[in-house]
Amino acid sequence: MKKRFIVRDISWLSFNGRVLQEAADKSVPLKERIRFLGIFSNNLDEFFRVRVATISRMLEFGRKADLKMHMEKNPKRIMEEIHQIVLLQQNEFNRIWNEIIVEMKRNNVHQN
Amino acid sequence: MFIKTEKQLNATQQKFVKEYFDAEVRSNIIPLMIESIPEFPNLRDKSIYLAVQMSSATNAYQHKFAVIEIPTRVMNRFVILPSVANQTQIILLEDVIRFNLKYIFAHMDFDQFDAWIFKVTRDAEIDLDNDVNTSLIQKIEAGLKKRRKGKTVRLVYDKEMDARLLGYLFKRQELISKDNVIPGGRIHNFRDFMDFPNVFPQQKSERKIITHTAFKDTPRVTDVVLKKDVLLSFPYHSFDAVIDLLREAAMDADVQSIQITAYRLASNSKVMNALINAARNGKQVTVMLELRARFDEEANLFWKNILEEEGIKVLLGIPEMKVHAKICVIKKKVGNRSKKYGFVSTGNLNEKTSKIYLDFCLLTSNAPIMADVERIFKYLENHKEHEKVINECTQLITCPTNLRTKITELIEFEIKQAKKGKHAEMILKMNSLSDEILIEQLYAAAKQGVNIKLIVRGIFCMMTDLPKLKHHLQAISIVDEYLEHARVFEFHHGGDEKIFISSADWMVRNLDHRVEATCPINNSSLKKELKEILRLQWHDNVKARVLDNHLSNDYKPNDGQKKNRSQVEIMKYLATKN
Repeated sequence: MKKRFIVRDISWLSFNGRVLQEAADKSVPLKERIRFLGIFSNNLDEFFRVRVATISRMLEFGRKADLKMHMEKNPKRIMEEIHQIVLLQQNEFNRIWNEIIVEMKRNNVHQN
Repeated sequence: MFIKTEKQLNATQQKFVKEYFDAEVRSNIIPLMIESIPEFPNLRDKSIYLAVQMSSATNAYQHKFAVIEIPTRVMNRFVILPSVANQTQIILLEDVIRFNLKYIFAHMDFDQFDAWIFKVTRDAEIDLDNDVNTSLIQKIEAGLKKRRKGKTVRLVYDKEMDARLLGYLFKRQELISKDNVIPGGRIHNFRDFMDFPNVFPQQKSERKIITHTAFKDTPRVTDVVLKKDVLLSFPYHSFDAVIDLLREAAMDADVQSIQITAYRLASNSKVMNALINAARNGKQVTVMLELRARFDEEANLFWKNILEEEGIKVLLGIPEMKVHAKICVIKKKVGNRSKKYGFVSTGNLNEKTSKIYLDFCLLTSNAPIMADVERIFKYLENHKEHEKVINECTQLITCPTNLRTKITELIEFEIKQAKKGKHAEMILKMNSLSDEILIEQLYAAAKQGVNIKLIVRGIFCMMTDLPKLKHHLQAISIVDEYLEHARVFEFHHGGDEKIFISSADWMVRNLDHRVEATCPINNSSLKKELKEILRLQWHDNVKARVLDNHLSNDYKPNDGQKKNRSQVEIMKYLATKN
């Protein structure tokens, strides 16, 4: 059977990616862009505290049991995918932050 | 505006940073000499730490490590530096500490101090979300009991960190998986940046609070609600109406009782304040306080004690079942009859978040709705004895169990209509959609030609591009300045439109493991208002992303049409109602 669902945790990361899009959006005021970076980072912390922790426990305890992670039979693969996405988002996050730093400096010049 | 590091300071700023440290910071930090502690200290989640390496220029082999917690829990992360006019310069608290390392460790025999930020994230161990099958949950919980609390799930660190020091930290942290050691930049805990100092030129915001037209010419909210239904749309409408409703009840000699649910409260909750005063005025007050609201457990435990001291009856709900419904019923004597009024809401009773969360709250004295709210409280007071009571609701659709059945019925009705070649449509707005059973039903409906429009902010497990569904199933997500939080379900129902506001997402945990309330909107003008808001959201072409199979998050193309940023357009629409 063809895949009919998107894995919940992957879909959640995509949501946090939308938060990051707002931080990247140059039409959004700087103050708001920084706030979105804060929200993104706070969200991701909670995601690790709850979801990644849960999957980690599954990997540890359920090796033999017939594990059925939500809509996905393979928690190991989910974990790998999570790491890939998190790493990409982290790079994007750093790129945006550096861009904001430049913007802030430029702002100052314009004020003079 | 500049963010300066400890190495970029001019002489005046250096002096300031030294003095600021001595006066404000020093008393808040206690360096941990980690090499002399046999058991690695329990590092706090949500805090950042400086890993310090002390070394000596004359003796390369001699070095020592220390760890310092950055006291952001008690101090502001951002320190504004003295600088020339027209400039704002900020230094981060960790850099203030970095600058002062040579003074902190002056008594030790070293001349070089380097420090890098790291932080740990711990297993919250509080919520298994119920989205995995139950036997598994039990299995894991059994395993959990044997474990130490809060194992480290993630270690993030400044990638510039000295390899020897990183190796040492890694060795002394018991991590669940090596993959979760994540290199990062110089700054961590960006969560603090949500409170970045407001040093930016003031921008004129288009957004403002609107007084609901129903309350324009009357001093008392209660008088209005006793006569007609009012739909509040937060954050456009002020939350004050809800607080006023409770305040007025607290002072009203004819009010006998107030029953209300609380999930996430503001820190100095005005709602709780009103309830406490109601109790002092001799009203019978019952608060269903959910102690398991994730990350708010501690705060709610605090409220439990305060409320009980005031003689308020605090209900703690049902084991294994969070109470997420946002409901209130006030009983008042009018003549020799008693009249009930109150509200059903999609949002928390939280005056602070109501300024940034989009939610709906129906204030009403509709007798059947209020009777249902009372039924839910009866169930919450003694769920064993009154298990059947919530099934007797005539207006509200409750979780567990009833919402799932009702949605299925409504979807099946649309399918029948589509099969007859009639117009069949639903617009569903929620925060998360992950329930497999309902998703299959939606797939089936789309296949039969029911038009399904989904507005889902967060988790979305459907695939919209499956064969045979094209054009019938479309989904968007709106992420903008305000947090989309309302759940609204609209069914065309053969022209006899059904529209609901709800506290429930379409997730297993909400549908089957929580107490939730979904409320029909029957009043035709309120129906029209909600429909118009949904329509504006559906046609958002500025902040809407198309949800597709590939998670590409592309913004919805605006195809040369007029820009519609729904969060702004809704405000304009509501303003015209005044």
